[in-house]
Amino acid sequence: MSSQFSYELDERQIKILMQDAELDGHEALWSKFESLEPNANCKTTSVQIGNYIPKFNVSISRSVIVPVLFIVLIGGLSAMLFSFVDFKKKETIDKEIPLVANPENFKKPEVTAAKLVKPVEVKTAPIATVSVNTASMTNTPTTPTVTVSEPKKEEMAKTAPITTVSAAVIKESDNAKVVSKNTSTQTTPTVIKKKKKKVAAEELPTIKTVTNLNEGVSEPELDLK
Amino acid sequence: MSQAELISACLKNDKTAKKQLFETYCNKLAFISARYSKNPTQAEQVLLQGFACLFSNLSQFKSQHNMTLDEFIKHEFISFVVKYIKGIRNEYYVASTVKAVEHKERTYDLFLDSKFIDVNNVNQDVLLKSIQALVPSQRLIFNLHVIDNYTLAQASELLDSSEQSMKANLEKARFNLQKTIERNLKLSNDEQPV
Repeated sequence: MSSQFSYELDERQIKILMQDAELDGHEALWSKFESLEPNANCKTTSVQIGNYIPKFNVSISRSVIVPVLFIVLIGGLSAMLFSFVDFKKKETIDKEIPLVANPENFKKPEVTAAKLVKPVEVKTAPIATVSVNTASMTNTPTTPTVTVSEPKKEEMAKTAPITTVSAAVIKESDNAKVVSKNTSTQTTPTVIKKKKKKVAAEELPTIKTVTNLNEGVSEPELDLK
Repeated sequence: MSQAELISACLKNDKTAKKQLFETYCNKLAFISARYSKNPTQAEQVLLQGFACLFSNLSQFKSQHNMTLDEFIKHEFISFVVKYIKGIRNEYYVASTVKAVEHKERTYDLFLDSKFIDVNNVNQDVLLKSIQALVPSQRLIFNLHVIDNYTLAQASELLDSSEQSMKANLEKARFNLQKTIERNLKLSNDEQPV
């Protein structure tokens, strides 16, 4: 019942009034009934085929059917769309060898800075005589002793370490290329250069291609008039 | 003649017994047919065909041990009437767009009579006419559920439809019936001499 409509009818009173009521003056209908009786058809005009069909009385409200229908429709459409999408896991791809260049082939020659060898200035006294104990020098790397004469002991004391250094330099002259002179001479710096290592270039595979596409094809001779 | 003898005589196609049975239940069944029909002509047609069906189904009364003859005759007759009315498809399947919403018309006439209409103070004729004015689907459910004490489940089974539609039709029937009674009462009051 709608809240806007106030139902005022007393159904109990209606029931009392209408349930067991009678209409008078219908006894005369017997003659009509007698004339009608042979033609009377108890069966209704409903379709008889429907009587053979089993009837299923399923009480489902409209508020349930409509949402269910919508859900089925949407679900069916989405299933149809998903059928086009492939969710299968793809097979693992075979390991590919990465094309990484060999860094060794691209080594640049090491260019080192020129070593400046400073000339060792050896200052020796002209008077001082050097007596080197060669036997000991060849075998053992001992510092040569220097005997100094009488004059200028003070100067000798000063130059004593210098002279020892000059002896060491002379010993190392075989190995070192730098020659030190006792006297003050001009020395020039030398640059050590290293030879570049020649890297063999990679030979790329070549495909023998036909330079002339018409090889083997006999061309017709043109008749020039 | 006792009831059993009457029935056995009717089953033997005894006219006297049939006439006696007809006259016994004619007036009662006539009012029932008038309630379910739209006009007296249809009610008369329904009454005569109902009696014919009743005499043919009288043999089933012996198997019905839980019902009296009165109840059996009334039940069989109502079943026939409902099927008959529903069988008139061009009348029964008329769409009813009535909603149980009362639209109050705004009137600015200060001198308009606004008499209180007692809907329950109604006579049988006005009530019968108001019920006959209903749409067949509403008329059937109102008669079955309100007057003849059929449940909605029984009514839905008899009318071969769902209970939801029965409830909707019942609500519409109540609204329409009240409005029709008010209109008929107003007309009858206006007709009365001052």
